[in-house]
Amino acid sequence: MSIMIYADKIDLYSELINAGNILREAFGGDILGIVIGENNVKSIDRIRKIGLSKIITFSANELNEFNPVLYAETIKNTLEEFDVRYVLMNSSYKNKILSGLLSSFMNSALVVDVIRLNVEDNKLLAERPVYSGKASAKEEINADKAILLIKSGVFTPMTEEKTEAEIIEKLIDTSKVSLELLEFSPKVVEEGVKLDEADVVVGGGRGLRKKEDLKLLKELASILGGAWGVTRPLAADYGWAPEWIGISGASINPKLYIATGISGQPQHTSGIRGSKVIVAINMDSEAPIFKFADYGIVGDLYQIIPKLIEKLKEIKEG
Amino acid sequence: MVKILVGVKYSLRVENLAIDPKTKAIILDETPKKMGDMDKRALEEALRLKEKHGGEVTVLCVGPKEANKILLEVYAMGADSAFLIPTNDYLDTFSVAKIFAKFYEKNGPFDLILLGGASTDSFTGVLGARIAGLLNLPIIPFANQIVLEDLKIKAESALDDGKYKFSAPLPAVVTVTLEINEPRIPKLKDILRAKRQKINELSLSDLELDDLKVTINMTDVRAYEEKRKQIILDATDPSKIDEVVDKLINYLREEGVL
Repeated sequence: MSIMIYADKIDLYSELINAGNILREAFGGDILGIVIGENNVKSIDRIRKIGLSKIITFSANELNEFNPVLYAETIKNTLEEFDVRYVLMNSSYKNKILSGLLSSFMNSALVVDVIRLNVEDNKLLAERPVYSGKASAKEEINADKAILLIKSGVFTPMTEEKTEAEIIEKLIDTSKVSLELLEFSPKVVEEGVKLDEADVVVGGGRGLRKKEDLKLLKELASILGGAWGVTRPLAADYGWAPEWIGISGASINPKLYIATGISGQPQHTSGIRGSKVIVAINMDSEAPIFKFADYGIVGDLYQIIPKLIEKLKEIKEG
Repeated sequence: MVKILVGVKYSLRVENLAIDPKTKAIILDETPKKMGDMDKRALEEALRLKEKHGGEVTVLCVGPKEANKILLEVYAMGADSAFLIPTNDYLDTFSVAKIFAKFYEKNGPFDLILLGGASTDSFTGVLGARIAGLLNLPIIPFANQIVLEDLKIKAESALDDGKYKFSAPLPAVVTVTLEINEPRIPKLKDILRAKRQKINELSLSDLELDDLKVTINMTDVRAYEEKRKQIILDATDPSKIDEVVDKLINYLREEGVL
């Protein structure tokens, strides 16, 4: 019996191994890693000493870009070969599809977006946010096999140096796969601080009247050394930004989050729950966002943000 | 001609969750419900494909008896037939996937299974892939755009790191996002017509799934407590802005976040 770890970003293996250790302590077995795609395989040294006993690698050209059916076929054969009972992955849209296919192939339970994991009386229990992140559900796994998708940041990365993993290189058989990837266009990442890594985030919602007004957010974010972002309608409907802050987009956990012109839909507020301090600026004193804020200013963001920028500049220039 | 199976969920309106003030438990019976947002777009997309290529749209819903309300809406939008599998028990996505797979096998053949990318309430986003896995069909997930040509389905998936254009032979499973279309609003005459259409009911026994066993038990669902300070400053009077911004800066300094 073994535990398999698969991440779609090489840096996440060292977090997942700590989730794997919980399962290993309770159920025994080895923890194996599976790494797919040439670029990831190239970075394999970074995860070689985190406590994986073996790392199985696939670096065939066809695997450089994600194809759920091809990836699932690839992993499936490995799971059978190594008698895998538990699979741990980072929670992402890609892995939801991959794990959905795999769980059907393996006849296993599947829990996504896991934020807590423990074993009680030999029962595996997972907790995950539901209902747009307004509530959390405890789920008890009632199957011999399970795939668990762990939210990134839930487990701290393994920093201790462990015994070096054995590397096993594998080839794939692609003849059976019906799904064809025609084209991949990577997300355009704007320069500057990344949303999910920023200490300060300034968010804008429908209170902003036009795209040019995003410069207010950008200026405030830049003086605070942070990142800026928008809500779903601004990104998905108006196309003002490539991604949005919210449970269906980027979840953030900065020290300070400033929500401007944002009403506070559950979809958005559940994505900002990890923020230490939340400030909301909104015209409408009844806006739900004020219930999620530590400090709220009822007023016109077009007057308040420039004033805030001005005063922060004064402080900075001393 | 294209035969499409669409799945819809009778979902909680998460913006109106009924929460027990003491225990913070979610009171499902008192929470209003509706057709899932992405599910409705899956149905709209199916209807558009039918209008373009001809064919038939069948809708399947697994849920409580009251879910027939959304199936009326499904008929009003233009579906050809709607099926309800009434169940009051909690079902995990694997069980629901098995029901869809069995329905597909018994009532098919279908060329396409169209679903919402994720349900409006539990938002796991895995049902389509689980069905595809059980039926050994290709899946195109979270599609923003769908084109059907030469017995192939082409769609653009919006995933974590970018956009993926996939092509799959039929039959296939496709799940859609909120961005794919704007669902039609049925006219009064469509709503009246829908009331005369028959909602078909099937039991788990009809699908030979009497021994369906969940792989996950939801043991406890509780609302998060919002523990924010909620200190509100009023700057609706422009002459107050200066003072309010100073106050905010002081608060943020005390918090150690500036």
